[in-house]
This record gives sequence, structure tokens and C-alpha cells, in this order.
Amino acid sequence: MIPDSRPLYSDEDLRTFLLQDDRRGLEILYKKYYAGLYRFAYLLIKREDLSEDIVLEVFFKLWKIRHHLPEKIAFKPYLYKAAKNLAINTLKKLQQDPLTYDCPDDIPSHQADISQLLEVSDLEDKINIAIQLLPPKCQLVFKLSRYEDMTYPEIADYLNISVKTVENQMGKALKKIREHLKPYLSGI
Amino acid sequence: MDIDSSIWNLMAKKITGALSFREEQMLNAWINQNPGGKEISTELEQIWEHAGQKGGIQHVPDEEIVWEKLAHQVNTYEQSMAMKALGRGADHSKTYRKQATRGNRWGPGKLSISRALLVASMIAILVISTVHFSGYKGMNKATSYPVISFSEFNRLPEKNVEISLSSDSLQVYMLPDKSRVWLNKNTRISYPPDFGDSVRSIWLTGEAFFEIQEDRDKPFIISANGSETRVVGTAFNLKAYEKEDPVLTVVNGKVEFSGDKSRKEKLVLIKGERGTFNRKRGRLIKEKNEEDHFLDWKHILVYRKEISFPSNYLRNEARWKKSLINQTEIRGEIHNIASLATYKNVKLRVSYHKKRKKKNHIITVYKSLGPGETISYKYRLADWFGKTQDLRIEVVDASVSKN
Repeated sequence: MIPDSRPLYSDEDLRTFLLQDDRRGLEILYKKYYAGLYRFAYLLIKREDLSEDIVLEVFFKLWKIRHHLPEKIAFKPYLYKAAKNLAINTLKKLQQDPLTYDCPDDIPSHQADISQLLEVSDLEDKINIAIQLLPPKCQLVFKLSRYEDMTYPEIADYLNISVKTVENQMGKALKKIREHLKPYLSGI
Repeated sequence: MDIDSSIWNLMAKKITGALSFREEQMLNAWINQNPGGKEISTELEQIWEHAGQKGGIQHVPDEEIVWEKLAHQVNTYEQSMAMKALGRGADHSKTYRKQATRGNRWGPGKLSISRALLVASMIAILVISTVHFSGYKGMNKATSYPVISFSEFNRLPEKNVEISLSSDSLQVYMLPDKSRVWLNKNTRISYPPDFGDSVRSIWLTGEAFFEIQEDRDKPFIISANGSETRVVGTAFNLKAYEKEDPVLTVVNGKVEFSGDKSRKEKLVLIKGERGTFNRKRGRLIKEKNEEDHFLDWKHILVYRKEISFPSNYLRNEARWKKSLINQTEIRGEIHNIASLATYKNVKLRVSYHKKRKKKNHIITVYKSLGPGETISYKYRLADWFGKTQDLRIEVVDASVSKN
């Protein structure tokens, strides 16, 4: 692997590397986006083995089509979208699609149980449970914003939803998390 | 307190830092009017902050381990591609045409690196050029692969088709009217997807060889560096790199060449003639073409084919007889009919039937074999005790010699 103390390469440089069959291009992109893409895939698919497969496939595909990359490619959205598409395909095979879930206010999620909120004492644990209680799409948008530091337009772009939808989901997410935590927050 | 969802959205935006100035004013106004609003806002900030500490995915598999897997996958893939490239025996010109008319992009991605470098160095040899080719030495050097881009041809039909080649690459394209165009390195052309209704117009920077389909109703017009070339159907070479005076050399037919669109002054050029447009003085010069090698750059395409499909360019003739000790002796010649490539390590498959069993040998003739050259070889079969039938010898493959 290339050491970390590398100069920063622009997308254009990286594209040039790839066009020249120089694997440094692949390696630099891999180092830069591997962890983020893995977590992104995991948020979508919630299985470690499949997330790893997806990340592998994203970079492998990139290498395969390296001579056909668009001229002004922005790798970050490109790779995330590729990961998203692969995740969706995988989910279709598993016959699940978290992206088609909306965020209705009253349907409780099956992933966590409200009673769990009482079981943990730590506020951070409670917050995590509250996040787990969110409906899938809502949860996904919130996590991408919070843990992956993605901007609204980025989330919208990667998930193929409108920025307005991201705004709404974020609003709902915070509203619901606060509702669950309200009894515990008053002490802060 | 019942709070409108738009307020929640604004609050969410606030803690994620996505709030615009106007939205901030709106939110502040709401908070000022609603007691308890400030409290909620603070609570959300607390949630946001604490959510980050134990949330997310704790475990990401080791970067290096996954990289190893990826590297392995890539290696296997590259090997299989190299094998495919060796095994292809068909003429690919048809595929080229199909793809060109459809407006797809493709590059010689199937060539292995060494081949691409070979091609690249051949270009440097063939094209009389001041550019020193030093092969790959990092990203600032010329790329050894063509960069071909069609500006969203399929999705935006109103836009011109653009083809642009980087240094050290060559391609041949079929245009919408079935005219063919060979593009030299660093060349760019652009044209309307289906050409125009009354004329076929195309823009060129760089060097290209045209073989124009005849269409008397629709003249073919090339605009290049201030010059304009009009033809009906013919073949010619047009060199018009940026900062150079356009030079047109006619191979076949009749071509009109002029300095500008008004075509007040124009040259009519025929086979063997050459026109130059002196841009500084705005003058056209007509002369006999004395340069024999003006089309050499175009032959690189031939060369590429030759190095991709060696067996298509190697002819084998052989005779055999049983010797005094009843052993089959084969004598043969291999003739290289390629015009540019030199081959070596020619692999021949010798197959025959012995006692109704099929036998196969691969023999390798190591000598190198230049274009037009013939080499002879001898080979003996281990078939003293039996009848040998259906003896066949064919060229399977060869490697390309760089010298």
C-alpha cells in the first residue's frame, strides 16, 4: 500500500492514473473512500459480509471501466452512487428495500423496542436506541448526516431522493428522537 | 406544544449546519415568539452531540485485508483480459464501425500494457514529430491511452458529438453518413449527431484522414483552423493542428479547399496535390505533394491489428515425408505477410492421427521474423512404428518482437 503521507490528488489526476492503467489511482481512491463506503453500504444493507462485497465490487468495477470514465468525473458521488446501486440490487435479491419505506409518524419500527430505553442508564445509549426506533429511511438519512458528515444535497444525490425529502426526514428524525428522550432530557 | 413540521426541519438544519441566512432569521423569529422553543433547540443540540459518541458503525474491516482481496480480483481480471486479447482471431473492423455509428465510446482497454506502449512507440516512430516519446513516467506525461469522450451523445441528441483523442492514440470512426475518418493523436472532431439536412458539417483540430461517402446532394464540409474543405466523395488527409497552417493532401477525387466561409478564393485539388492555408497572410498555396510519408501515421491502425492477431499474418507452408527409418520429417516455411509487425516465438500446432488416435504437438519456432520475411523450420515426429495420417500444421500464435 502507498504510505499515508501522500500528496492530495485531484479527481482529474486520479482519472489520469486510471486511464494510464496505473493502480495508484485505484489505491488512492480506495484509501480515501473505503471506510466511508463500507459504512454507507452497511447503513443500507446492515450486513457486514455484504457490505464488504459491495465495497469490493465498487472498486473492481471502477477498475474495469477505467478507460470509459467521464471526463469531469467527481469520484465521491460516483462511488457512493455505485455503492448505493449495488446495495439496492443486493437487497432486491434479498427481497427487501429499505429505501421504499417512508417515514410515517405512527408506525413503530421493529428494530428496537421502546422498553429498551428504560434498560440503559447512559444517555448516549438511550439516544442510540432512540435512533434505532426510527423508521428505516428516516434512520438512514439521519445516520448519513450524523455519522458520515454528509450534506443534505449529498444524501439526496446518493439516495436518489430530493433535498426536500432529506429535510423532512431529518426534521422527523429529530422530532421523534426528542419525543422518546424527553423524559430523560429534562435533567440536562 | 404542537410544532409545525417545517420548524422541525429548520431545527434539524440548524444543528447540521445547513441553515441559510434567511432560514436562520425565520427560525429565530419563531423561537422568539414561542416560549420553550429555545429549550427544544438546546435539547436537539444535546441529542446531536451525544448521538455521535457511541453511534455509527464501530467496526470496519481491516483496510489492508480488503485491499488484498481487491488486488487479487484485479489481477485475475487483468490476466483473463490478456488471455482474451491473445486468443482473439477475428477482424474487429466491423465492431469498430458499429460502435462508432452508435456513438459509444471505447478505448483499446483490451490491449495489454506492453502492447499499448508498443503502439505508442510506433506512433512516435512513424509520425515525424518533435515530441519526444518517453513512455510512461507519471501522470504529467502524455497518456498512452486515448481519451475519447462523446459529450452525452445518447442523452442529449441536440448536442454535437465530440471525439477527442489524447496524445499517442489513434482511432478510426464511422461517421453517420458512413464516411470513415482516421484520427491522429491530439485530434478533436465534432459534428451534429445526424449531420445537417443540407450539408454534412464537421469541425476538426488536429490531423485526420477522410474517406468520404459520395453524396452529391449533401456536400461534406470540414472547418479546421480557419480553413474550409468541401467535398462530395473522396479521400484525403487534412492536417490542421492548433497553431499550425492547415495542410490538405488529396489521395483520391477532387476537393475544394478555401481559407474562409465566404470562399472568395478557393483551390480545387486533385489526387497528388496539396493545399496549404497560410493563416497569417490569408493565402492559399497549391503544390504537388512531394511528401511520401504523409499517411504513415494512419498505418498504426494496421500495426495494431497485426500485433493483436499474429496468426492472421503468418502463413505456413509445410511438406513431410517418411524417412528411411520410418519417421515423419516435416519441413516448412513461415512467411510474415504483415506490413509492420515483427514476430517471434511462432507457435505451430502439429496434429495427426496415429493408430486412429489423435495426436497434438505444439512446436515453437523461436527465430524472429520481420515483415515480408520467411523462415524455415524442420521437425520430426516420434512415429517410427505406425502409419501417420491426416497430418496438419497450423500457426496458433506468436509473440510480437519489439525490434
